[in-house]
Amino acid sequence: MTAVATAPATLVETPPPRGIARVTKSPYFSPGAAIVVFVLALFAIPAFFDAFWIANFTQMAVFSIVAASAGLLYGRVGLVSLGQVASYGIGCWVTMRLAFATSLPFPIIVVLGGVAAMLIGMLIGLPALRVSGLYLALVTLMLAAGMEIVLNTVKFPNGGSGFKGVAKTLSDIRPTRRPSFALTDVTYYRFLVVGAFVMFVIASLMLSHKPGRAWESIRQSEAAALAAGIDVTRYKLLAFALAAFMAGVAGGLYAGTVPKGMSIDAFNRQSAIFLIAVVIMGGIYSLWGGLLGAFFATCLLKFLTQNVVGHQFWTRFALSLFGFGLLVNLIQSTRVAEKKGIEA
Amino acid sequence: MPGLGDFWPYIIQGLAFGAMYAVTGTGLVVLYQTTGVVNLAFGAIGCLGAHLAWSMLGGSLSKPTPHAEGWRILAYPLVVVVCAGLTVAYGVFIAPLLARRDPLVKSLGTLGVALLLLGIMKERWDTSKPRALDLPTKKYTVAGGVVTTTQLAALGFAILVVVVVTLFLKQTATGTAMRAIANDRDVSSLLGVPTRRVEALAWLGSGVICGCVFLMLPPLFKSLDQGTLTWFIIGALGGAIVGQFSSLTVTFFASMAIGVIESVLTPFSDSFQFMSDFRKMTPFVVAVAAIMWISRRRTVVLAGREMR
Amino acid sequence: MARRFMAAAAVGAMLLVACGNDSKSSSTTAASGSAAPAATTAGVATTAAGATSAPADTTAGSTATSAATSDTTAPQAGLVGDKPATAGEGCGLNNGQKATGAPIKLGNVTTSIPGIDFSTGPAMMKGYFDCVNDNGGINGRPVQMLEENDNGKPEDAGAAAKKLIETDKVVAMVGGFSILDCPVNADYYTQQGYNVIVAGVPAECFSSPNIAAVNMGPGYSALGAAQIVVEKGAKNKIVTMTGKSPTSDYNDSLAGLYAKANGFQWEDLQPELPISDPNTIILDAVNKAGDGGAIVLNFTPPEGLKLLKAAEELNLIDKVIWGSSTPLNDNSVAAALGQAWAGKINVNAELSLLDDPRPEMELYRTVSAKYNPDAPLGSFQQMGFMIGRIIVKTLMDMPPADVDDPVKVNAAIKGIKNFDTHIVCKPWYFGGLPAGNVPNNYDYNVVPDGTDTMTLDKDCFKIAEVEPILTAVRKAEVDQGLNVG
Repeated sequence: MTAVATAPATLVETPPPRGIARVTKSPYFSPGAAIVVFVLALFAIPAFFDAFWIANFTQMAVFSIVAASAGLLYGRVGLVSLGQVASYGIGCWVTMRLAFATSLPFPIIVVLGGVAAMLIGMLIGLPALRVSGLYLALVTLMLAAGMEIVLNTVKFPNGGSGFKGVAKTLSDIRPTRRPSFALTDVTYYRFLVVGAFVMFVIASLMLSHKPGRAWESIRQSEAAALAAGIDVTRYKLLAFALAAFMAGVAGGLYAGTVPKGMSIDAFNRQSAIFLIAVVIMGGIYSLWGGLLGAFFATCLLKFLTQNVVGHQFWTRFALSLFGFGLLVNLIQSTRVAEKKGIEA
Repeated sequence: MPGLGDFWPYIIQGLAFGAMYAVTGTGLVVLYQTTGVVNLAFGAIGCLGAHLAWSMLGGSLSKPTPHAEGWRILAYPLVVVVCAGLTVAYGVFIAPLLARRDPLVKSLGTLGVALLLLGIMKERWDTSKPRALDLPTKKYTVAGGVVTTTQLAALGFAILVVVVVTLFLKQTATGTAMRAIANDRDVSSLLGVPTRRVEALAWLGSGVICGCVFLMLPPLFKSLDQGTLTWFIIGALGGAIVGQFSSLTVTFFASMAIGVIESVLTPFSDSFQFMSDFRKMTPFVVAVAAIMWISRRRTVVLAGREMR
Repeated sequence: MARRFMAAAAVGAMLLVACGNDSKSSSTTAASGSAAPAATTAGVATTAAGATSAPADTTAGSTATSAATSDTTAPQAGLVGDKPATAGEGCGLNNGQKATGAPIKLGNVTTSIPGIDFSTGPAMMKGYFDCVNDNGGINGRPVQMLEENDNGKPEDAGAAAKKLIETDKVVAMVGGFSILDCPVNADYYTQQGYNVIVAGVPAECFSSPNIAAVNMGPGYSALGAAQIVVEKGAKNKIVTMTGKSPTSDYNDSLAGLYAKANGFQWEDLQPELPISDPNTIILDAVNKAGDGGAIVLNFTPPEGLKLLKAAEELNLIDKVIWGSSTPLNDNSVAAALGQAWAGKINVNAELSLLDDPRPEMELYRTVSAKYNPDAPLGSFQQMGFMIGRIIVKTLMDMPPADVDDPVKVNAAIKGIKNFDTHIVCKPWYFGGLPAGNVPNNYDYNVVPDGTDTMTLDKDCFKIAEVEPILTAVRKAEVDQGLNVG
């Protein structure tokens, strides 16, 4: 992972990439492919799939944002955070609370949920800035486990009054509202796709400008980055903030997919660990990895449960698959890195 | 608000759990120091061992709490054997494949194993049915609270493990070799320390500790619960983090404190209800507070190893 | 440049979504809602499957009394004693001929995840359907059960209902056993015009006009247990306990209302699930209940057993009077508890005992042995069997041409009343009442016998009316003659 000296660039000319490599070699969220996927998601999916699959793609859209946020932190800045589900949960809770307490437009309260997650993420990020690598992963795991307990105790708002917004009597309970322009499942799905697209655009904009370059230096070597005059603390904080904001927005969008019966299931410590496995399997270096990982964890898994073997087997075995996939991925990437190291 | 004397039974319970945290923490720290891996599959391996023992004891739908009869008593040592075997197998066959990576990646590998085993367990042993693994135990009434031999064993075992491991690391050749490897693996190897063998020993020791912990945990939890047992490791990390993955003594006392605090907060109610509601956060709060304190002036480097 | 283009596309897309109206919209979730409180514990289930029960007093013709409860004693009229089961003595037409033709499709959403596996219920319902299909079907046509697992995730529960109704086009939703189906899908079912028969856990299963359960759920079941512990002489305070979950406040709330209405102090404890330190929790609970007080548990068997065994270890059994909601009515629980708990815990039972000799229960045992032999007898199965009996009879009574029309089928379901069954105390009905349906509102009390069986301690008694839904239900029962039998 440290920088390796190569022969002077003028002596050796690397041939330009050909064919499909021209597209895939682009390290960032390639604009053309992004547009194509966006358009397909927006129009082709509702046209060709039924309500059941649209619901699954809805979940994929939401989860891809969370996965991309975790992948961005790990793959682009070198910070492993196992606490993204905490931001996810905070965003969800804040959005739900605001949905009942105010009549602000839904997109606004989703953004506010993201902002709340971001502020709390930054607050938590401050001590975490001083630790790195494994320690950071463990600390963020602790934070995720702690947040699970908080959310489980405080419970999710469901139409009641007071700070917690938990209804005291049965008749007070109301569903979380949706945006007025996206009330149906299909329109809400489209709203989600747009939301996910916007999040990915924001992330890739930051990656392709100064923050991205600073993060790349930090990822390669913090000491070198510091020596080069980069404010490491500030950019690490920025990375945490962005990732927390993304996950928080995802949480707010998730709240609209489950108007009633919100459970802690998506925000517990097992989900935190499952997320990192999904992210690593999807690929951490590119934002596409978030999409791919989300696809594995939602649609592909659902397809398997519907058509192969049987429900219970895949639900239980999904954990094993992802665990195995994680291990294989890590070993494989080690092999690749070692090979490159030898060749260079 | 409960009176002072009311806390005694909770302290007893807390000491038993704290002891389990302490032993787990010790196993994690020693393994980390020698190999650079935080074995996050500790819980999953132990849980699997316990379940295999349950099946071997003859557990079934109609016999959720089997008792050892005749040859089936071998199920208890089986737990230790299975845990040690799986841990060593990982350490000898898979860990070397990630040996060149930083501790984070090495530990993520164990996380993969944890998920792998958890899925297998969920498939093989349906957790909607009650299941328990008991140790033969006697009760004593001490100062108004009930103490069982299992709890005493847990406490005693924790003290024993910390003392033995500390002495082992300081006084024996292998222990010294482990400390050398912890300090600098490459130099130790150059100096002729059989690093591979010593590391395998560290994995074995960690596995044996794992097996012993998971012999005692199910009786303390009163059930074989896959989620709780597997992710028990997360709470146990608290003490290890306070000890900065280097000091066994600090790990021990921090773990005991965490266990006791978590337990002692239970009876609070009314205006202090929140302390009871959030008591399960104790390991996490302590760990994060410890990190904030330790890192207040400097960047933390984990147990002296270079972070890349 | 590319970035700007992408930004413009994003804006355009948002305009599209904002202005466009999806004419192919296949479903709407109602933004406005009413009633339908969300309540469930992930760990609370209705009864768990268990082994056969030992000999017990049967309910045939016995009187039900509830002298110490605040409600009047249950009238004998209306209890299903010797009355024949409405659905007949055999499966369907009972003619030994295989059903042929296009199947009649019925759907259900069920939770089947590690820790909460309700799939045994629908499995028994399917077993009954198989028996019916071997005996003439529904006027010659076979019944097909389509089950979807919600994986314990709310989004999957929603997707499952949509798949069954819109893709698979089932004519009715019956036999769902889920912790999420009712809260997540109640509004969707209303909007689609489906009247759903379930085995209910969360509060929405009992507070939605178009959902009716064959059981009574943790809320009413804990209430029944509270009634019993009071009758058995509890003093001063009742402590209720249930696992903490986003909607666990409902589970013990009705027992709490009853406690307070009868002059008891009440405290509700909600430990985290799964319970990892049962000793501390149960010690705390017993201290809070005080000597002679009562504790009512509301947990699934694995969790409840942890607490009870901890109580035994800490010598706390005789300090309080113990009660529990239905899930602990399971012979494997009795076996695990052993002699120390003989007669010491009062478990509310929503269904008749597994060895009840009446014909419908005998049919249940026969069908189970032949069509679902791997699963032990248990209350989930009883519920599945009962739901199967209800829907088959309903379909058979309809004109054959109508059974493919969901509108007509669901109207027929709504009209079900006075359905005599030997599985619950009183005749079953759907109701469709505006405030919610609680058709099963009489219970038994069972206690462990010290070996491996739950035995009958008290025959059918009336669950107390402590809140408006049950009060409205009982009034409607009288006004509309819903369960006179």
